[in-house]
Amino acid sequence: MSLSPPDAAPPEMVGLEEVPGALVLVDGEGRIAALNQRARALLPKGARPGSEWGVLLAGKEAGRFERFVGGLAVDATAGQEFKFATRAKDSALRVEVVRRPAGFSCSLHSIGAEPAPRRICVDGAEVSLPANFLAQLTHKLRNHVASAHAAAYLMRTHGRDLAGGHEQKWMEAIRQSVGSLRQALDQIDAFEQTALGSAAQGATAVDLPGFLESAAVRARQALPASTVTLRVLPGAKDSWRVEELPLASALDGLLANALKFGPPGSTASVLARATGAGLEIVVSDTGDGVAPGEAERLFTPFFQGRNARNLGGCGLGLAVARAAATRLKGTLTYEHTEGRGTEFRLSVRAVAGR
Amino acid sequence: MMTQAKSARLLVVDDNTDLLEVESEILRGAGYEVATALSGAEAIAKIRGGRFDLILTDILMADKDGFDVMMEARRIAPGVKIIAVSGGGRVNASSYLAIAKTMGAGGTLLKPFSGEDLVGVVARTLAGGGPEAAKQT
Repeated sequence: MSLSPPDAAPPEMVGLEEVPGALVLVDGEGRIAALNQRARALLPKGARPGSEWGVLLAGKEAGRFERFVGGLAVDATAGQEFKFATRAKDSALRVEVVRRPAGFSCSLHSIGAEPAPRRICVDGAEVSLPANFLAQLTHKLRNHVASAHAAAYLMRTHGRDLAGGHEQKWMEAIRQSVGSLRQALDQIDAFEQTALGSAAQGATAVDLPGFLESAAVRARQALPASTVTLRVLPGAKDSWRVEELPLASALDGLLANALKFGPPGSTASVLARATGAGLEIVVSDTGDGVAPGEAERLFTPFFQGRNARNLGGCGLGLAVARAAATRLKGTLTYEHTEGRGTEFRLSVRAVAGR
Repeated sequence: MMTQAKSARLLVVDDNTDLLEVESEILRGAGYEVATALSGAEAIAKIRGGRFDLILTDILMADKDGFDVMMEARRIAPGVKIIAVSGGGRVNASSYLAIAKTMGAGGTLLKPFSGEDLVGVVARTLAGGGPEAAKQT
């Protein structure tokens, strides 16, 4: 059996103990060639290889399973190099096992484990981009294109009457897919402008009430059934000098986030106030809040929570807002109570006046 | 809709609602009996509860992913044929699909694909016996 190496960037070597999951390598007779500590912890006391805990065998018995314990086993019976892969936490591994007279030689190559983010310099400031940025971006776009493509096929192959029930459903699928694609492109555009600073314009005079109203109009255009309430606290001047584009991108991202994930007809509240350093804009929603386990990845580019995966976009909205806050020398934080909504707090440096 | 009698029973797995719907309609239109699952966990439950000739699964999904589905399917129903579908993710799609082939996928499909690609890879994989029998699209 010959297995081709996955078509990936040059692999990064990792050690046995660096594998995120349990890893077990066995030989053709089911003897353990190597295993890491997590695999050791999984093995029942007195377990014998290939019996109670089972292995996944590659090689001549590819695909045969006994019982999988969350690791990987490779059959090196033939004395060849085998390349195989497992995954844990979005990781993928290429494992090469070579039978040698004195035993096994085993090397692991990471081809998909969380690589370090790429850091680039924009206008003297360091910007962090996720590694494999383009691969992740492409992935997000492919789903939307695939839906439209498949629905168009249905229309072309089985469509009879444009007013028919099936045909209407397929056209709606195309409309939704194209809408999702457009949202994704808008997010990419905003990310490019804010995180990468392609449209740096410097601070200009911004009329705060008009600025907030425009953002509310844009949000309601995207989700017509939604409601946005605006409030400027006394003490906040009408006019501020601030870089408008990233501030607008941040507010758009926060409002879309607040409205998109709530029930139909959701309400988002925007409150603006002056602070010692400038301006604070608080966006609150009445949604379900941040799901357990998702908080730490909330601002990670391309991350979409469980409730967000079928709602268009590509997971850049909050990343754009965070990038904009950084660009404006400010911060973006949030608080949430499970089941009672989330409050995002955007604080930026700004000077009151024209 | 035009249908052509085919006896194969398929399970289509994707966490993208829109895509799952159109994929399954295309395959029903081609005459197959199609069940669907919106997550890896749901797919595994359905595999445990029913008999399928072929499973067409996306790779990157939230809870149990396509690799988990493939591994569980091999354990529960060793003879089931599998097609892996991917649009990439942390690594490019062809890497995921290459991994899926090493894990025993009889066919692979790169997103976005045409309806002809989908129907074609299903027919070839059902007709063939192993990874080499299905033309990679």
